[in-house]
Amino acid sequence: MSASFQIIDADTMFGVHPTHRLDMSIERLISEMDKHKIAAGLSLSTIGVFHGYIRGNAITLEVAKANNRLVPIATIDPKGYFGAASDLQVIKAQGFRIFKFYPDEQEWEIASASFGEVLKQLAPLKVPIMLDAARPGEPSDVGRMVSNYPAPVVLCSVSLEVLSEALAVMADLPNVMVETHELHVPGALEMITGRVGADRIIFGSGAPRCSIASSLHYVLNSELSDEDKQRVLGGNIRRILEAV
Amino acid sequence: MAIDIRVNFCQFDALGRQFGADGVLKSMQKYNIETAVLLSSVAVNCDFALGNKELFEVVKSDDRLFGYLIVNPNYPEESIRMMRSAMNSRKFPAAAFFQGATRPYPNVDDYREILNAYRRYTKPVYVETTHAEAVDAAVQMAREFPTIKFILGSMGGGDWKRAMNYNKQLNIFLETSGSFDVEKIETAAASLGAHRVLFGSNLPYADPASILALIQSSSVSQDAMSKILGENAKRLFGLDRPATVEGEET
Repeated sequence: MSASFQIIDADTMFGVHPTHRLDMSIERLISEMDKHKIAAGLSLSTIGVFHGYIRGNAITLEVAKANNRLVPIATIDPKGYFGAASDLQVIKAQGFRIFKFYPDEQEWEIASASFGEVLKQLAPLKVPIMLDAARPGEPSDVGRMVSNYPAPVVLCSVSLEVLSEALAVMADLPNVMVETHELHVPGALEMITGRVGADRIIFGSGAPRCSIASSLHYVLNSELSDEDKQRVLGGNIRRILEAV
Repeated sequence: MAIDIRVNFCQFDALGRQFGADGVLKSMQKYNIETAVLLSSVAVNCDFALGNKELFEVVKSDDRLFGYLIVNPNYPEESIRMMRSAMNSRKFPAAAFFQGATRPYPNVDDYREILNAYRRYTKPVYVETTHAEAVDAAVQMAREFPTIKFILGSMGGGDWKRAMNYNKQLNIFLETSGSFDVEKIETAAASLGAHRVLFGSNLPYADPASILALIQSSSVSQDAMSKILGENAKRLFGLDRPATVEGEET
């Protein structure tokens, strides 16, 4: 069913998860991608999320260099970030084309001045960003923080609980998009497409912790046209990355 | 063919579109689901008497549909009265517990009176368990009422591993909706046995496509998958028994 689509999974992670005992090794991730015919995955090390972004980014980069199907995601914890714009320029120059933020896991507020500072420093680089906006209020906070951000912003972990909020933000801000791994509501993809267009939806699975099969079949079984499915499953994220 | 044991019956779906029985049946057709066991969202969220009554009207006229009788521990006498009239009907193969009275999730203290009255029906109870504390509380009920079979609805949500701690509690069963963790189905089948895991989707809040893909992409055997997707529900709910002239009123 998925063979005819060129699929890019925008939400994967590898390494040891501190609170979920599970094989999240890079070998497992690649094997899951193979099983579901995923051509490429955006990924990062758990070290960068749960321990420290400097070390984590280095691991991510190294792993991505050894696996050409992995697109490295850089991350920064604003709570522990005291750098300057030039530091972010260095990270980008190392080969990162997208940054991702984890306010829930790292326990910081999206509306915080420290995250605002990171965004201010990232803006001149025009790199796309992804960030988790899973809790009520978070998509709205993102909307306020990125209203002048000059590159795509992908809201991740959006479930039914915050879908209407995310949609309201997307309606206001054309650079805001949504990632799918927490979306399992029948008809949600069709509704988002009807409101803001299929080019604003990015397929992600949360693999290897979450099931690629579940996320993928949710998209494949939707009523979107094949053209729109292709946009969601890979075309949109490809376009974003190629523009960097 | 599959049996979906967790379908929410509501007039509108999660996106505010018309749903109702037509929406349920349309989804069943799309995913080749033979039978669905419905619960009334009105009954869960607000008026259990109204919701149960509406649901009975829906399920009584369609061979593919069955319902849970929602009982409310804040109204034990009314709940027990309703059980008397509904639980003899094969269209209500189980009762369902969703909220507590003193705690926000079902627990033995709040449901003891209802459970004492329920024992005579020899039917299972579906208990909503969306987190670890709710799993613990459901298992406590199962320990105090060992002759009743308890289905842990949503399998503990993101805390689904908590249920694995209780694999020796033989009167608990697991319903698959709640989370999409990749190893959930294999782990549950290995820990409790595939005969104690039942497919549920949480339609229309979740698309059956997602949970069906999780089950069908798991590494459980074909035999185990058949059990999870339908055989267990058929046996547990007695859905393979022929319709009789039992009391069909609520």
